[in-house]
Amino acid sequence: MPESASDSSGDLLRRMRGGDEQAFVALYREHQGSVFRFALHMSGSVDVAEEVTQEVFMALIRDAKQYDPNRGSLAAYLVGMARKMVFRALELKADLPQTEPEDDAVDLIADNQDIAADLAWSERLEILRKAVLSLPPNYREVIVLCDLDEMDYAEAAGVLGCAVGTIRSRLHRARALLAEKMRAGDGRESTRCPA
Amino acid sequence: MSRNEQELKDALRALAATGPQEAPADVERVLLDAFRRKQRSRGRVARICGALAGAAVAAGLALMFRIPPQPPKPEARVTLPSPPPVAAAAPEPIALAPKKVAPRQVRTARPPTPSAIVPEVATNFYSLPDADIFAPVEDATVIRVQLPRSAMRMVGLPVNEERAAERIRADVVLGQDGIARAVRFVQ
Repeated sequence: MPESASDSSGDLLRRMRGGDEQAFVALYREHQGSVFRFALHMSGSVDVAEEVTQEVFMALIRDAKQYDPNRGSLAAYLVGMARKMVFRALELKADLPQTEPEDDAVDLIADNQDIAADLAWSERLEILRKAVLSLPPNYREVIVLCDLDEMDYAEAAGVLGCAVGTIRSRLHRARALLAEKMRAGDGRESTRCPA
Repeated sequence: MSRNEQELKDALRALAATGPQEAPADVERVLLDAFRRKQRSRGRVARICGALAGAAVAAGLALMFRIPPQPPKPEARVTLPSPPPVAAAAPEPIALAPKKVAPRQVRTARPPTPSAIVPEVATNFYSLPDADIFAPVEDATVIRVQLPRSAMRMVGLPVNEERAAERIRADVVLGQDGIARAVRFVQ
């Protein structure tokens, strides 16, 4: 995160702690998008993403002192909170009896091998979305943070609490898995954009 | 970066651009509401804390100057000195039975007769309004203060208007952050 953005967040946070409503609104508007998108791409559910976004900022309202600027940017702190809440929400969801079989991206892709070549771009993106959701969580989160949300490696390492090297290696492996799923899905070598 | 990798990255970028990008406006409204409630609650808490601080200072001064107790009135009521703040676990949520506390010895001309000792009767602990907005209590402190009876309204208890200005003893539970979370009234 650029220093100026970090400084601006720090200033807004200080004002928010002092009861400045406008500062809270500005802080929320600055960060809600990244929190919401992270939760959405990790869970594949708009409902979960809404709930997580609300809970993250509710926690900030309750106790903003929990954030320690020495341990990373506010953006990383908020997405880190969202990450824990998403996993909790997904665990709860997994505990609920399923009314219909879960989507399995790999099966879907395999079943559709013959027609995949004719899929429209939007359908191909849908397959990619499901392929992302079918990745193991530790690979999914690096794809979401670094490729979908375009966070830099250092900041992603801050969110996940691991070394930058770990982010690099996980990202490499995650992309390889995705490429494999996409190749298997459309019978082509790559995910080509429509002309 | 190979062509395949580049194309995968492009596809991921396109995927990121699809679907909703921001939380719906409802979420902002709910959060703004919660923020305002917390600010209002902070104002109330500040007033209560001010009253508590005043009570604590008064108690401290009384102890310092060793104000002699009032001569016993005909009905021989016993005044319990305010206990110093003590660390305690989070309050028991429900304590319906009247709590009897043995009074400390008071300096009087004559020792009080058993009939003069009035046992303490306490209400349950009541959460203060919006106390749930603050962080959960991990290290509570209970302090004994005096409040106007009208303060009982704050937790929804009925108040006799004629006695609203009278004082009543109260035990206030403070969280680790010094913010009052719950109160009970003692007679």
